[in-house]
Order: sequence, then structure tokens, then C-alpha cells
Amino acid sequence: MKPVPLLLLLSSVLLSSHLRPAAGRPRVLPGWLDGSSRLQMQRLEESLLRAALAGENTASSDLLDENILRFLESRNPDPLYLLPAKEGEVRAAVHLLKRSEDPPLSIDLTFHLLRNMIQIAKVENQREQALLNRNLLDEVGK
Amino acid sequence: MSVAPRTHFLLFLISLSSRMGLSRYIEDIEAADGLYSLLSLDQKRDSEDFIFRRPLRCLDMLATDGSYTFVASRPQLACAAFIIAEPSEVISLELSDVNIDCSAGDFIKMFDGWVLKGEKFPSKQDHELPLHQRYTDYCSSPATGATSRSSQNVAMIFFRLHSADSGFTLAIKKLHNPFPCNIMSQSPEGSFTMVLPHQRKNCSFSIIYPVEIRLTDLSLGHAKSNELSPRV
Repeated sequence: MKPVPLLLLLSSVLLSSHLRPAAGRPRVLPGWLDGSSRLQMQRLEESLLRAALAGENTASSDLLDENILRFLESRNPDPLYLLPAKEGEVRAAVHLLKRSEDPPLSIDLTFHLLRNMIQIAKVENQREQALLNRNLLDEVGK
Repeated sequence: MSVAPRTHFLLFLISLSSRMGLSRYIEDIEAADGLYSLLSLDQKRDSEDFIFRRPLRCLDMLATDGSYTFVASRPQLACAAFIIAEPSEVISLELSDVNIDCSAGDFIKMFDGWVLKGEKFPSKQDHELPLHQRYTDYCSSPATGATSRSSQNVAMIFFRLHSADSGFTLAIKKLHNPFPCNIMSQSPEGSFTMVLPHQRKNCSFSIIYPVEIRLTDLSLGHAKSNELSPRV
């Protein structure tokens, strides 16, 4: 190659590597993605709970559903005391549990309550999986 | 000018103008994240940022891997948490930070299965272990009684705490089980294939929803035919 074109090529490469840096874009997560806004997450969780439980259309247990929703939303309730609709049954269950010191331990839940609890747990699991996926893709997509 | 020197000259001119351009880069304040991305997926899940944590309730259903902490605000005499996983998973439970008074009647017992209205799932006939081996009592031996692994995709923990501010932390991890035997279905629809490779045992598939069940694609080892007889 002739020396002049070679020199030109070399100098063009060297010049293009000295780009003037502008202000960088700071990588700040939006407020709702980090853990600081727990209150918003709780509200989201509650609305998800309501959406999950709203799917059940059994007329006879609507009152029960509301009570379940109330005690499952609060943090540390004693659920056996918050179900006035099935009070007799629940009291019997409480007495049974208190009487038995050793196994057999048993919880007296109807299948309806159990199904609702499974649905809530599944919604929680899917939400957590979505959060994990989003964090992973944030890492990979950098 | 011939082609090659002209190209080089033009390239030189263009690169002169690049000095007037602006570049963009992403300012990474958290420099440690660069190293973090080198971790494998399992290591990331185990690291502090990715463990799912929430308080445990007196009556609870858990389906997510994570760490659940229960702190009694007042005496809780009858508490239980149900744990359910996917059909092809088993559940590993581990207790930590246990602050209970066994001598006062507190207990934490983990059960390999579910107990509902006195009935056990899987039933005594279906489960491999005898009933007393399916309970793991923390108070009887704190060293070995702090971990438990279920044989199927459901597990349970019963606990009773008499004094306020006592509590414990439960860590749940789901492990893969390639040939599940006793299964509790999580969803009211779908299909499942149960495969038992060269094993002689009773297995079950339970579903607690009102559903229509259809058996298809049967493949039995020594049967004369795989036809399902209509009069069963």
C-alpha cells in the first residue's frame, strides 16, 4: 500500500476513537421497581386478591368470601374468630384443636376455602415469578 | 486520484468531523452490578436480593419459594400453613431463627402431606412411610427436626405458640421430582401423565375441584391389552 493512503487510514482511525463524551444517562430505576414503595405493592397485592376472589360466583358463600378476604388481607389475624357466617362450625373446630394435645392435628376447612387459598397463593407465585423474570431480563439486556 | 487513495482521503475527512459529534453512554452508578451479571442463575436466586420474603400468617397457603417469618403478636394456639407445589416438584422445608418455648407447650410440626378434617392426603395406604414418620417435630430434636422434605407436591406445617414475640422463620424450596407418585392438582383443568418406571406401588392423583375426569392413553406393563373397559 502506498504510504500516504495508509497514513490517512491510520489517522482516520485514531481520530474517530477520540469522540467527545457527552453527559451520560444515569441508570436510575423507576420508583415502583425498587423495594422502596412497599405501600404500592401492597395495594397491588390487595387488588390482585380481590380480582382472584371475584371469580367465585357461589351466591351462598359471598358473605364468607368477604370475610375470608378481610382476614387474609390483614397481617396476623386469628382466622377462626373472623367468620361469623359459620360460627358454630368454627367454634367446634377450635374446641377440637384445643382438646387434642398431640396429633391428630387437623384444620377444619371447607374445600371452597381451600380452593380460594390455592388461587391466592398461585397469584402470589405468578407475581413473584414475573418479578424475577423482569430482574433477570434487566440484567441480561444490559 | 485513483479509487483507493480517494477512499482513504474521504475516510480521513469523515473522521475529522467525528470530533464534533457527541457520544452517549450509560452511566452505571452501581459498579458492582457488572460483576453481579457474571453470577449464574442459581447463585442469583440464592443471593439476598432475590429471596422472596413475607410474613407468615396463622392460616396460610404457600406456593412460592422463599422465606416466611411468623411472629406471634398474641398467643396463637391453632395455626397451620399449607404448602403446595407443581405436580412434578417436592417441597423442602427448613426452620431457622426458632424462638419458641417447647416446655410451655409450644410446638412446630411439619407433615409430609395435608391433613384436612382429620383425613390425611396421601392416605395411609398410598404413602410409603408410616404415619408417625411423616411428622417432623421440632421440639423432640431441634437438630434434626428443623428440616423436612416431602414425598409429593404438598406439605404442611402446624404450630402453636403460647407467648407473644415468639416466632420462627420457614424457608421453602421446591425440588424437581421426575416421576411423581401422589399428586394434588393445583388447577381445575389440564392434563397430567403419570409415569411409573418399573415400580410396584400405589399412586394417586387428587383434585379438589368439581371436574370431569377422563382416562386416556393407558400403557400398562404386563396387561393383555390397554383397552379401558367401558363397564368399570
